[in-house]
Amino acid sequence: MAERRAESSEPVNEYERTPVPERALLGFKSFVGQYAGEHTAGTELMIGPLFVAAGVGATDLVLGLLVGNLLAVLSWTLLTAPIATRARLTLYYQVERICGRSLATIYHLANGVMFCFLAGSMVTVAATALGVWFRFRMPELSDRVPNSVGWVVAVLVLGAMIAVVAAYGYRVVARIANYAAPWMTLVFLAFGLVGLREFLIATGTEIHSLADFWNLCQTSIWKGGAPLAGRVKFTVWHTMFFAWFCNMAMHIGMSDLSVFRYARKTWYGTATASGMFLGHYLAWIAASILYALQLHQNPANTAVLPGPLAYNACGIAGLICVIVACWTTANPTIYRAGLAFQAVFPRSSRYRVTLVTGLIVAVFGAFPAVAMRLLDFVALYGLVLMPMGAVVFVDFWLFPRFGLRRFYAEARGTTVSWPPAVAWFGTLAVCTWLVARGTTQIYFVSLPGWFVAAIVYLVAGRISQARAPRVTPEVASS
Amino acid sequence: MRRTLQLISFGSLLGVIVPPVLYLLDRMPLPSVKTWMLVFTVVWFATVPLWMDRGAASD
Repeated sequence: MAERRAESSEPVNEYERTPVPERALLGFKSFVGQYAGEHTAGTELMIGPLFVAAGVGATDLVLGLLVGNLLAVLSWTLLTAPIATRARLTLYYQVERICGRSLATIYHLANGVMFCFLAGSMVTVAATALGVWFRFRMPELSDRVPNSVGWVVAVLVLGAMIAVVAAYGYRVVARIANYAAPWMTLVFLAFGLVGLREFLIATGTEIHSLADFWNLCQTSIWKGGAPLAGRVKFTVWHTMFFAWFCNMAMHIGMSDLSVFRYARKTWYGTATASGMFLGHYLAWIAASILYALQLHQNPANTAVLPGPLAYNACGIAGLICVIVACWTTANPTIYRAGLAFQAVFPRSSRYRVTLVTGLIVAVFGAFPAVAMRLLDFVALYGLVLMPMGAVVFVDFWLFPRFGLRRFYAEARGTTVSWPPAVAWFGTLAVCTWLVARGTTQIYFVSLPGWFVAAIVYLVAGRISQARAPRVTPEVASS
Repeated sequence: MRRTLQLISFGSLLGVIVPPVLYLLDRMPLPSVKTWMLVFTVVWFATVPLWMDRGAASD
């Protein structure tokens, strides 16, 4: 009974190992809606304030986010969508064909773990909304572990509910996400408007011109200067690279091949602008205004708690927004993590794997370390999965030009192909070394890292294919 | 009927965003903003399932 219910409530995962056929292709609007909804998440309420905690200035924030989000849209449009609309295969299947089943399983595992941490931070954010109602002690900005029993209970209860729903009622939450998307965007906008008015009152400022407004932004909201204790100072470069790379796993890392394989045209990649400029521009800026206001009113209150921030600005509607924004994005994240783990444990049912994954997420969520260090975690998340995107890019575009065979592991029938393994782990080793010795920060290292991964895979692929006996010629459609 | 429901839904979205705009313009107090936002949030979630994705409702 349970299994049947689970099956019927799961999203349909069609064409997992075959190209998406013409009849299943989707129009531009579908992608606009999907990205607008997915990238207006509860974690945006965490990221915006963390920019303020990092001492970002007004120009650095506005300009950095503008350019960074534009680069993210271009990455989807010029890197991900062209491969997706030609191959029309999922990333997982392409990785399996390039790397072999065993290496692909390790990739699945890495993906799953990262998804768990991400979903955990969403549960953390959602629990801050419960804290407003139940008044338990909530974590401070510097906390790594839970600091009250009430917090642990709230996170575990909420996490368990989300886990059960992700396993049983995926479609219901997916539908609620559709309903909530336009409303949520407006509530995020409302956070900014209310925060702005509160700033005007708190500073006694009167706005008569754009110059007055910009002066308020520079002198009271995003003042720049030193970051809070233990935080890295964010410049325009940090904001730009963060905005560009925060979804790196999805565009440069090619995870969204699975999404854009349904796109009729390559230029549909521009649909991601809806998510970037509503979620990662408007929502981040709005949330950062609320936190800047909190610091303005009480500089000692550095806690980043989206629940109280939202409640103070918009009341119960704000709290509902925090919970819905977290729930609707944690749901697919847990589901994706479950899918990734199911590739590792293929004998377990999808329902059971999703449920266990959700419970792990709930435990992760109790530890505020990831949420309070979300800027660092998101950069790490992109870094870990980015090399495989470079591998897919080189395999698809450059291998044929160099006379090399695409999907070599599949052609040879091996379970571990060493060139992608060397490119992946080698790149991570180089990037870790660069960050550890202080040559560059984690926010920037993925850019040189991508070129390292691409060059290593190209060279290693050449060596590997030159040494090995010839395989049958590539089929054009593959 | 669908048209009417859509009108109510989109009207409720206006009802969610207009109060904060009025607050910014100093035309409405914050407690009223919070109340109206909640009222129109309820209206949105009550009406939108009646017309959005109706084709998918039987999944």
